[in-house]
Amino acid sequence: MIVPHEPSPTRLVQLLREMISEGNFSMAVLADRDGLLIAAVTDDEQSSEAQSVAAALLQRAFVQVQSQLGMAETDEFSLFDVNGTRWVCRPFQVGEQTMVLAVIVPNRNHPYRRLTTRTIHAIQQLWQA
Amino acid sequence: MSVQGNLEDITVADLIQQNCQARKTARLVVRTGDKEATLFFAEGHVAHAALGDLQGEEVVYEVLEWTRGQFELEPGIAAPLTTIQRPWTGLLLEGARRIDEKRYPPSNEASELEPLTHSEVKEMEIDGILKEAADQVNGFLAASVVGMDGIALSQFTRSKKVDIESVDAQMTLLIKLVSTSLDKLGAGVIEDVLLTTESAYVLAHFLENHEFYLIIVADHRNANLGNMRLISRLLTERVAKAMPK
Repeated sequence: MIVPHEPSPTRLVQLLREMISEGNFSMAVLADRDGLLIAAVTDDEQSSEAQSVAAALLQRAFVQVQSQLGMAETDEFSLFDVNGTRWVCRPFQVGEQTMVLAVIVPNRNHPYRRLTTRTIHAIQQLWQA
Repeated sequence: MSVQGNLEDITVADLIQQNCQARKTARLVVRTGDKEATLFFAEGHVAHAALGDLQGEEVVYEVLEWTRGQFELEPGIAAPLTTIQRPWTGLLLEGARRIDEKRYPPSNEASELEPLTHSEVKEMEIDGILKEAADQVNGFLAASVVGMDGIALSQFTRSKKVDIESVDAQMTLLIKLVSTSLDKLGAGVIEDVLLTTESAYVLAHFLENHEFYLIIVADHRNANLGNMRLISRLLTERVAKAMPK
């Protein structure tokens, strides 16, 4: 199995911070397929722990979805709640590892797709550097 | 430089959505038969619309009904005045509602020959709504109204590639899995769930009672996600009203 070089957590956090700042997201979490948190950033330090737990839960649910439903080609899973918040999970590959980028977008009309795609590419490049 | 085209290739709703989402300043001239309407976009809104002596929202609702004709989009031309305040999403929803009403006018006449039960009539009504989805959603592949037990109340498919029963069951399982996490997150009640794959969008929109939801499956290449969401929201309301008591 190919294990890509793991980048510095500081750089990953920086990438996530740039993304949530540019997109006005309230939270971003990068986790591996097993639900282990690799990096997490929120726009509110006081709620960072709760939001990290939240994202990890969502990510685990997503992994369950992929493995139980065989939706291997799933590119994105997102949901809206009645408060207008959009919860997004995007799986991607780094070498042979599956990772998940989860973000919380407070405003449902806020674009997030391009920004998360760009961050995923940056993470992939960082890992393979 | 202006862009010209036919309404058979791109709908007025799509033109409004694209220009408003891109927050463009532009003038859109739409022609059908001997009618010509002009719409102006500014800062993410439809600012003004005119058709003969008519101005404002009513022009937009009429133009949304036009399915044949030509359009010409000229960027950079500002609206001469503002006659519309309603957000573009509201205009499209109201326009779609009016089109539905015209297509299926409410009838007060009870048929003496009607042998069907109330429940059967309601289910037929839902079947009709799903068929409408096929006409209104770009890249439509299939639609279904499903209970939280994974059993469909009504299904309609246009593609043999989609196993709609399997989609119903999988989406129900997915929603149940995620609901467990969401309860712990303290998130609000789920309104809709979107699954994006390489080949399709699968959008599940909950009915108000959260015991059923509407699923629409559309081809990834041809679908317009914004249009899909708008239509889904509109049809969900109608399905809710048509649900057997």
